[in-house]
Amino acid sequence: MDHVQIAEQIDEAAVAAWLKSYIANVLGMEDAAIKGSDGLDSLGLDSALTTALAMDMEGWLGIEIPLAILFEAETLDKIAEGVTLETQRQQVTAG
Amino acid sequence: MLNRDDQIAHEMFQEIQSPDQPRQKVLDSPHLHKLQRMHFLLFDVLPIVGTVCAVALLFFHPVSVVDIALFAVMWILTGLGVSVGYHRLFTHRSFKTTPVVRALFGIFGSMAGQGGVISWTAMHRRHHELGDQDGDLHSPNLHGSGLVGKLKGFVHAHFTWMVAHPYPNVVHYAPDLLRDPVIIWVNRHYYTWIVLGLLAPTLIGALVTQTWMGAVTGFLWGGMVRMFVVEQGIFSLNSLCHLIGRRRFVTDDQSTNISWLAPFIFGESWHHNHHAFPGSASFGLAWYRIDPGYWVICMLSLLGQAWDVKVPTREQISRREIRAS
Ligand SMILES: [Zn+2]
Ligand SMILES: [Zn+2]
Repeated sequence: MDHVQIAEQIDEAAVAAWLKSYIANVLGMEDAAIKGSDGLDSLGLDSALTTALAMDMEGWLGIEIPLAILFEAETLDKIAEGVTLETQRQQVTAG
Repeated sequence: MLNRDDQIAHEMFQEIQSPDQPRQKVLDSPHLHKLQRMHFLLFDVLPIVGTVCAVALLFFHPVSVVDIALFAVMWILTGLGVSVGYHRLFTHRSFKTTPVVRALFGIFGSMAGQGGVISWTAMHRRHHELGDQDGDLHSPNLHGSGLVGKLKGFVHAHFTWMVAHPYPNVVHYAPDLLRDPVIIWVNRHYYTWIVLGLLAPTLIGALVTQTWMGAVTGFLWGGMVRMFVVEQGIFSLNSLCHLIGRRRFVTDDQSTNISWLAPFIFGESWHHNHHAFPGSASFGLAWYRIDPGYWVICMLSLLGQAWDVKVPTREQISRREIRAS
């Protein structure tokens, strides 16, 4: 329904922007201070926070996100890439 | 006074959530369950094995004064770390204190091996949100009726729920802790604190007795047995204090007070009082009820190290009490 429409406009840039503003909000940092080449580890997100991020991202995109994408990718850009692919894959399956 | 604070705490939980997005509050994942199983084996099962070893060793080697002292000191420090630090301070914000005291309580609480402070807080706040209803991570009352149902519930709430459980969204449940640099630092080094808490009694045992045996028994009594005793106390809150005992207030959950347990778990077993007044630093709610955790907060307050200590007035308490008529 609604969230499927949102998901159609999702590209890597949108996911990356969401990641940066979410992390900035949680850690009390400026969005601009977070770069696409940063990793979750180096930013200080442990498995508890990464899991929270996954839950809130699932709420935003309306899809299920395998935690492995978040735990295994080395940078935010890689995560954005993986999540975007996953979004498209799940849309194809659903459609 | 308390009601307003509960309101603030509630708003705090909602803070980051935008109203048009559904928020997931817990997540089940095989990846997380694997981590939980490891943690369970290391810090919940191993202390039982260690305690059996310590008791078996008594037949060959009498327990020394050093071992008893190591057990007592570590039991008190880590038990207060959980009761005063994790529970009354970090989860329920029932008093305020300095960064140094926050760090110390966080570190001693971590040594108990019951999870990092942020996870523990998130799970416990969820317990209060959903006490004994669907979604409560460790209710003994959701496993059917009759003796068999109660027994199953007891085993689940006391122990086996920790093998694998839904993991709470810490951004939802503990946003306040995520903004506290002291907590972030303590939380990040959770495993370091556990190792320190096991290493310290081992080393002290070795140094004081100048023997290898002193190291072994120091580790067993100051490490394993005290971890076992603190854990069994806290586990009893989840199991016994929602199954047997007395109730005096109207609450949405099935929590109970068990007076005889209070001296052994720092006053935590006034658990029903605590569910009725979660923001109160005192769980006993009266001077004559044994509540060592609260006494420590009073001492800190006398020393100027704690302030804004919240306790409901007698009138607020009696207003909530169940009347016979
Ligand atoms: Zn409870
Ligand atoms: Zn509580």
